Amino acid sequence: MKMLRQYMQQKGFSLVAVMISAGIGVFLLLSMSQLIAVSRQSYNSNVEVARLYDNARYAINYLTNQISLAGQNFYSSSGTGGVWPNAGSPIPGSFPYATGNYGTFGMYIPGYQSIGCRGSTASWASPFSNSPPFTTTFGDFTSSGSQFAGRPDFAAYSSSYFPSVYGATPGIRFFYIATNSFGYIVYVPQVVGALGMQRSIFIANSSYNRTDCTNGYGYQPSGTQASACCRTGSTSINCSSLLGGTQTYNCGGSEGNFSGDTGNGLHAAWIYERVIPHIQPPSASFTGTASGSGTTNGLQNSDTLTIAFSNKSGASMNNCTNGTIPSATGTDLGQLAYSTFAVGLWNNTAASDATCSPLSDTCLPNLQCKPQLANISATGTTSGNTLPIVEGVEYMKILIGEDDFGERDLYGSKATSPSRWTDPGNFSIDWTNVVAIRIALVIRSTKPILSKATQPTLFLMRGSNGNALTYTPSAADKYLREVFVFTIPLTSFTHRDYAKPTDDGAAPSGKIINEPNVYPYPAVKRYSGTYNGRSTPYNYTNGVDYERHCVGTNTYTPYGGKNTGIGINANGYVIKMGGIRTQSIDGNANNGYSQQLLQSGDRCCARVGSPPDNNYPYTGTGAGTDFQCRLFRNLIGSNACETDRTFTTNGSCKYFWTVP
Amino acid sequence: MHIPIFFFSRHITSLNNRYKGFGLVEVLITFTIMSVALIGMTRMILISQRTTTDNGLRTQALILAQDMVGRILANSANSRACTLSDYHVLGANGASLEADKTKCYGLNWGKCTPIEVAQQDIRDWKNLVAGTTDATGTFTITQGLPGGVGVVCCTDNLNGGSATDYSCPNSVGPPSIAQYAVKVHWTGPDGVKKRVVLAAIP
Repeated sequence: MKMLRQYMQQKGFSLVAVMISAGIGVFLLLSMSQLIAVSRQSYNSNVEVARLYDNARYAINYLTNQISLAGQNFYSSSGTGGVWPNAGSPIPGSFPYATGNYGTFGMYIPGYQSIGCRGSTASWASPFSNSPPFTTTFGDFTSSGSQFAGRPDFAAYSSSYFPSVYGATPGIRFFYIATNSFGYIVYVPQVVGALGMQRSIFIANSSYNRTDCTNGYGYQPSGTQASACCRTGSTSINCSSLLGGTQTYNCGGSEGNFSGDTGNGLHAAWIYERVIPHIQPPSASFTGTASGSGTTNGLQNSDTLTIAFSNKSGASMNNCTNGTIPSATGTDLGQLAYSTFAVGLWNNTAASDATCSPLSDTCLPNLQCKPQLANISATGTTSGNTLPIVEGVEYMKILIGEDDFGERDLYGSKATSPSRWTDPGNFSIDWTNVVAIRIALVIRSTKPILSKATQPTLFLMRGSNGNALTYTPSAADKYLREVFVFTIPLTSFTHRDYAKPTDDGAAPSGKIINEPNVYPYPAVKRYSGTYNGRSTPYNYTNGVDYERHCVGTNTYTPYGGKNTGIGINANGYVIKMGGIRTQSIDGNANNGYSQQLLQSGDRCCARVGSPPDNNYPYTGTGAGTDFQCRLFRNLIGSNACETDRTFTTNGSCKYFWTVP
Repeated sequence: MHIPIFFFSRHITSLNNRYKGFGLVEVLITFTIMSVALIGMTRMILISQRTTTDNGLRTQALILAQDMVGRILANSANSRACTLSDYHVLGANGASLEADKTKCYGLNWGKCTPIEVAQQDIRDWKNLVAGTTDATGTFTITQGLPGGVGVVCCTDNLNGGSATDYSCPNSVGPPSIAQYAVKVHWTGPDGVKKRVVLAAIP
């Protein structure tokens, strides 16, 4: 009984105690679970951020490696290796891309490669000295009279005609359209082929009796999304508003005169068409908007970039996915390898760039690469599959750093300087002078990790008008986005045609630049001097080393009708001069305007015009203030600047230089 | 088995006396211990996030430095000689000269000289690093490193200066070779200043 009583006296926890302890327990459990949740969230976020930066690093490395290959091992049209393609046969007029065979495609943006134009009716023959593998010439269109006569007609030259000839086979082709009147070229941008091919076309026209291309029209359709850049004279205008389904190019340009056939209408156009396997067109739900100058062409409103190179060393070189590029052996010049980079969507589940929308974990924006090989010695191309390279790349904008002319550094070594940064769609880019590429990538996380939906406007870089290029995602979401900007110097371009001058050992009568013994040529104590550089590549014959040319000619007049050349001014700065004239060794001034081939040991002598111009480039006018150059072949050892018919004033030579 | 009843009796009585609920002290101690643990764990998460952020910033800093290296290499006409170089910009506030931007950038030929290219490069790049508004007011750079400072100098002393010292020792006069130290400084999420240094030999 006693025991029972004792048991009866036991008390459990009171309700309050139970409630409190339960409360505390729940609180602790909640805290812990919250902690775990936060920890997990944090982990996910960390993983995504780390992944984003990994992607950025990989993208930059990949693009840098590939783009650095641009222009490697190009061949001249003569087939001798290693010569930059500008060493093609001379061609009347300025056809910077029509001279070489294959090397003309060192690097380009689809649709913007200049081909050339010709205003003269004297010859309708193709300007291509060596027909590229895919050249086709369309017939002439001769007519006169009314404004509609003789022009390539819509029906005849709409894009529905082009594919019927060439289909959707990938490749690079040239069309040639000629008319002795004015005309229109009408082109409907198309995506052709089952997977869609990007057809790019470039139309250049020329005014009557003009051999420049300043009135050319460049145009790039890109998938179903057309955009265009028209250029008239020196003014570039974005004429995308003009574009509907059909683009009509008034190839008469602003100077067109349609009241008769004497106007400055189109006379001939070389059309460059490049059909590349298409990369996924932009998805409306995805495409962001970009603002800034210039055109924003390409997929996803991004720029695209194609690089090309070949392999002649037998070394192992790869484009993105074609594997090792066959090397040139014997008469077989091997293959040109292309890598085309663009931004597109990638369907992870289908392992393809087939349409995937809306975006999901299996449908991601990607940096993609399309490989392509083209036989140099024979026709035929090989395409590989478009492959995603880096995930999360949402936008790519490219700037082209173009050098106006090769400079040397203070020590006379080859050197470069991107004289302007411009839009890749710029008509006037001389792609052989491109020395650097700047790329801005917008990379986003693969999963939404931000706590709030944002739609930031991201600054990319200065655009081609000096103002900001920006990118704004199409909608507010929780993806983290980062911008990465990087600059890639192009080695094969920067070192293509210059060699260092050597000290001639003679005491100069000109100014001595005190050069410290510095890298890269510590042993050289060199006197300041002109060096030949190149005045214009078009005057050189195949395989000739530029270095051996001291001079330009007066037949090439891109800058205000003056001759051009390169020199060093009194401050040691490399300048481009209004003109360098040759003097043949016999001192006959009458042939002073012709190109002279220098020999090793020849001495160049130049003086600064009056007044000395330290500007770069030389801004003086008239031949009287130009640098002048004389050869002193057989006069090695003489440091006298001979009194000379071309040095009638201030006859002393200020600068010497010996051809190495 | 026989168990003496008094044993139970005493014991149970004792139980009743001793366990009437948690005492305030016990609760407080429990809370303290738990909160210490919780704070510790929270701090762990914070640290891990900081580390990630810091890694991200370091990557950004490296990419920015890499960009400058690319610019220096591309403009070898100016950069190859330290005596000429406008990339030799000491300290936090170096040259911020802006060449006429329509010369360096443009659809038409403006043709910046190598010097102007260098000046424009320095200006643009410093803005990118610091995320500052361009002085011309044309735009605001929204990104940039926290406390970001970019320094470029012609020196072979890559270890010169420190994360908080923007100077470039041994940079007086041309070094034996034209070599640049490209430094990007930033302030980490923990408030500590950090930097990365890359070399560029044009």
